[in-house]
Amino acid sequence: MSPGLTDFMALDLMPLLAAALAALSCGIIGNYLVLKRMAMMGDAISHSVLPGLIVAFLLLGEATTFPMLAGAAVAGVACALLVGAVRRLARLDEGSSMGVVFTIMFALGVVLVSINVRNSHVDADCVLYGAIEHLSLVWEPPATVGGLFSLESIGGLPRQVQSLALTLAIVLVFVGLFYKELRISSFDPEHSSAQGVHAGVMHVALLLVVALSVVASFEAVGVILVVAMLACPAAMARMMTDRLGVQIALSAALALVMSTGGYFLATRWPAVSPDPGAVELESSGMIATLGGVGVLVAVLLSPRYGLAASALRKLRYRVRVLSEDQLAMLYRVEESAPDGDATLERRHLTLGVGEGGTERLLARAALRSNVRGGRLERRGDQGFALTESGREHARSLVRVHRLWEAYLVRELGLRPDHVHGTAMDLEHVREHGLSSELERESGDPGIDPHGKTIPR
Amino acid sequence: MSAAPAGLWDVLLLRGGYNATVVQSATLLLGAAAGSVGAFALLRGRSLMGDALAHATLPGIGVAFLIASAIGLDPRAPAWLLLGAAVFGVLGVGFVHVLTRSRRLSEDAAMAVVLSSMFGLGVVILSHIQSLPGGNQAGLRSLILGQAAAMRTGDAITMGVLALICALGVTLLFKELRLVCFDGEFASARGWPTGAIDLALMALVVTVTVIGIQAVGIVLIVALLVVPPASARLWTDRLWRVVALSAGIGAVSGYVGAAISAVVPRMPTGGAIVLCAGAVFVVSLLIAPSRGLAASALRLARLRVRIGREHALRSACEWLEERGEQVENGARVPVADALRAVEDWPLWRWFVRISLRVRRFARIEGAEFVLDLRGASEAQRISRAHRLWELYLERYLHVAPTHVHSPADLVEHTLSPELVAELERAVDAERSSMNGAGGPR
Amino acid sequence: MPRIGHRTRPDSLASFPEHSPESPLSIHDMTVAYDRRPVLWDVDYEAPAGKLVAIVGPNGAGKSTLIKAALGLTPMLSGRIEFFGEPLKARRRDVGFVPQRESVDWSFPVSALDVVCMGLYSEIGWCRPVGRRARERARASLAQVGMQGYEDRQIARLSGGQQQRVFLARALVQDARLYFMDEPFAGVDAATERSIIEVLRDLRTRGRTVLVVHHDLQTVAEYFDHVVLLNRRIVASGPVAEVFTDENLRKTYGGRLTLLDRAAEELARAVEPGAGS
Repeated sequence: MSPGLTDFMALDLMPLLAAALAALSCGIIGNYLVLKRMAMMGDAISHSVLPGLIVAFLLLGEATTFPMLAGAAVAGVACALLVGAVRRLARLDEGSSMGVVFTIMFALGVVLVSINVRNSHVDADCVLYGAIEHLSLVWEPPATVGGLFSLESIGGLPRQVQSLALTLAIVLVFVGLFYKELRISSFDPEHSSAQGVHAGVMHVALLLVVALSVVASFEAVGVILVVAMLACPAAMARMMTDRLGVQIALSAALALVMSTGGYFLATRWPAVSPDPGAVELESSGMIATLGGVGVLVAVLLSPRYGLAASALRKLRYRVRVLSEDQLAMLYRVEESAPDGDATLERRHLTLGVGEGGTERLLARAALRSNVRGGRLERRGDQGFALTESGREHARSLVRVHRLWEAYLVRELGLRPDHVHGTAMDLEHVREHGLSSELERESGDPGIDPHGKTIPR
Repeated sequence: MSAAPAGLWDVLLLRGGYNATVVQSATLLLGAAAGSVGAFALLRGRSLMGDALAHATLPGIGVAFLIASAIGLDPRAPAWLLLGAAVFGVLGVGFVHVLTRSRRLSEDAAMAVVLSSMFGLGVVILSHIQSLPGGNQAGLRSLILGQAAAMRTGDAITMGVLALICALGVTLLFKELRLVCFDGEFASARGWPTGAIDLALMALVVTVTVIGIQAVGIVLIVALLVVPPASARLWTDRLWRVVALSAGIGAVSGYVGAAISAVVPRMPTGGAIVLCAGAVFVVSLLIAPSRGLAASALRLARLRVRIGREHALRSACEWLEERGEQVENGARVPVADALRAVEDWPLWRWFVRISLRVRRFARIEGAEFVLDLRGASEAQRISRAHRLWELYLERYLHVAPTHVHSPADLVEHTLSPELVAELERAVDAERSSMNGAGGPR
Repeated sequence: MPRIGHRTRPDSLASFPEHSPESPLSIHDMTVAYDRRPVLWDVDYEAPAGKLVAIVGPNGAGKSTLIKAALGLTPMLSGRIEFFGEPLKARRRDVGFVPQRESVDWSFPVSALDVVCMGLYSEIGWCRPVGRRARERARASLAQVGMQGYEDRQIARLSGGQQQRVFLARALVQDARLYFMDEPFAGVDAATERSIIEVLRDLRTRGRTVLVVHHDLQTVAEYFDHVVLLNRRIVASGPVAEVFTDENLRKTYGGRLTLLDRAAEELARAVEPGAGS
């Protein structure tokens, strides 16, 4: 085994495994929190883990792992239920009742930890940031890579990694078994209950699995950063797809990328940083940061739903509208020209598109796209005229425009001198079958309300 | 636990030394400001935004520290660190808005993402600062859970003054905030700049959050914005009282919490303050008049006793009428018949008896139920309301007569005299239209 | 009475009188998109002064949207609106608004009197507290709607009809010249209905104009002078006797505008696919 690999196995393997397992469990179950608009409930649950742990410890009097984790999970579910109870009893909104419940619970935890710090085995710093790096200290790597997969070595994995693996298994089984129940109860709780999938039961079950994931993960990343694992992968995936199954798969992949990326970025910082004195950074924080950056990038750049894509789409649509307006304008000039031929200059074609500089720029772009698309051709120095294919296109546009005018006057009873503007908007709508239906509904009158012929 | 310097009472009575006194006064003002600002944030549904904002301040503190050390300022000057915190807090709110702009992420998802990842960034920056020469970060980490004892007098005075300014802002904008929180649409229609008023509220929230960081800490400062107004809301239905009470609860929690943390070793101030506020909330939830749990339990019990009482009187009335006897003072009915509709649970029966007795409606003599003068008229009134309601259900809602009894039972106890009069009119009108003339009642 | 705002038949509108400065409300070419979908097309309307006007139409016809757009609460895609010949900004004092009762949280910790005082906030101005005179006026306004004795009642403890009357009092205290009311009769008791009608008639005798979104066709003729029949566009408007005909009602309620709706949806989707889901 190469020294690099030995180092990796000794120092990085366990923290990395823990981070990835935590991110996977939280990231997958987090999808339902995001869909049910309960992401902040994840925050509330994770904060309530602290008093759960410490109360369990104080009651049991010793730091035995599984009872303490059970106590923490119970506290998490109790927190979620208390939020509901306080909301009803004190008649608060969901957010405020969360704010009341989890802050009081967390404060209780903080105070209990602080005054029992000597004998509690729970360290406030660990609760806040996690202690993922410490995992490499409690594990003796096998001599070979193959040795990793022996039963004995799996049994010798650190307790946290074992419980994380178990949690991931539970999450996967839960989501796999109750996939359709979870989907229907998240989407439409009332319909779900009517279908025999009791939404309340599914809700509590979901809370329990969330609490379990949070409890298993918080040792690795801390109570606040575990929220990033719950919310970020699901939020990123939600920005990219509309299908729940795809979203879950995507969020799992993103959770892996986020956790391994964050871990390596933090631990390899000395190697990357220009500063020679740089030290390793807190990897849990880096994972959360990466998650946040990922969500921001997804919101800005997602190909379908991102803000950039939406701005671009608006721009493109505007250019299309402008270019179609240019074709229609030329067509109308041709109609009224005695010889049926028309040439317009650029300044005419970009006339009336608004004063703004952007609008002018877009009108230019529209003109270029018309020329490049072979719908317009240059005539002489400044002029532009319709080509045959441009005329074809323009004719159908003008036809739809005039059909709309006829429809608006006939069906809506709008005044004939008022429908031009509306028809200008509607003529650009392209939907399959719309134009033939329009023909039928407007009675295919042959002439528009202004007395102009509707071209065929 | 070496030589406890001062007992809790000494500290509470401001005998804990000059610095402790100043710090306590500052947390008192902070609590008052947070309570009053928080009341409006709560009513506007913005409570958790304070949480997202507070967590987002951590990287700001780190960045401010780094910039200060780079340009040679004192990197631990609180004013400087808090300025960085404020900038990043606002940035966090801005990020939440950007993330919700796409309409695919709800506000709570955006808040969870911003809160956790910006806090994560803060943790990363703090771990970097730790490596700097002289960058012992203990001072910065105490900002996460708050440590009022570490505050210097000057810091405390700055905090107190800013808190006072916030409280003043709430007082000045009281009317505007009330309008926007209650009915933003009406406010816009009347020409109020609701966006600007919302922004002012957010600015107040940012200020309170940032000045509270030193004392209460990033993680728990939101509690000061939420818990006092949530408690105050339980006690009163008038806005100015909610705001004043919330400010008061915040002030007391800030003051007592700081005192406790000064006395108990290793007690984090934030936790102590929040637990004080939390205790007030729990007590309020239990005993607040009208909205408290005790009050509603009492209300429920009284309603049940009243229902039992009225059932008894009605049964007695019906029993007498069936036998053609007068419902009058001294009329006697077997107890078993009078109480047959009362819930068969000894304690309730006992309550019902007491209540009948106390109100001088009826008394029980041996196995007989004896109506008093008041009880006789009450029994007639109840029977009449019951029958009217039955008639109404039958006529207007077409409930089958055999089914009438049970729903009528539940509603008739809550009918007000005006409603009974209206029922009478409705049923009478119906009767006269059917018979051609209204018969005698 | 000048014949303004009558719009009995679309084709007779070529002779529509151009904007009269007397008209409390004139809407020109208004098209409104709500939630990215056009809901009002090309609305032209001049309200007659000193009349009670019902705005009537099926669900989703854009009745509330018309009011909200006129008040600047919903942005318009196109159009121009004038109040007494001036833009809204200059005439806000003269324009009163009664929103739908469901639009607010009635558990909000304020009393009936507090709510009525809100109608005077603009007059009181920034940062100044509500004074005794304002409170007196609010009290008088509450009495006008038959709510004396309820001044200090928390609004959650009022019945639905009483809440509606509090909203009405809040608008009345402002003493505007033009009122918009969004479904004031929705789900109220008989006493409230009578009280609202009384108030409306009193407003009319004082020369005020009231536009009321109304859903009960049976009472239109009894309560109102004028009517606007609306379904995504104005089908007809004018005096009730002339306009409130079976044929116009059939046009308003029976229209199949599926094609237009589909096109509008497509128009919205061209810019924002799958948003809002």
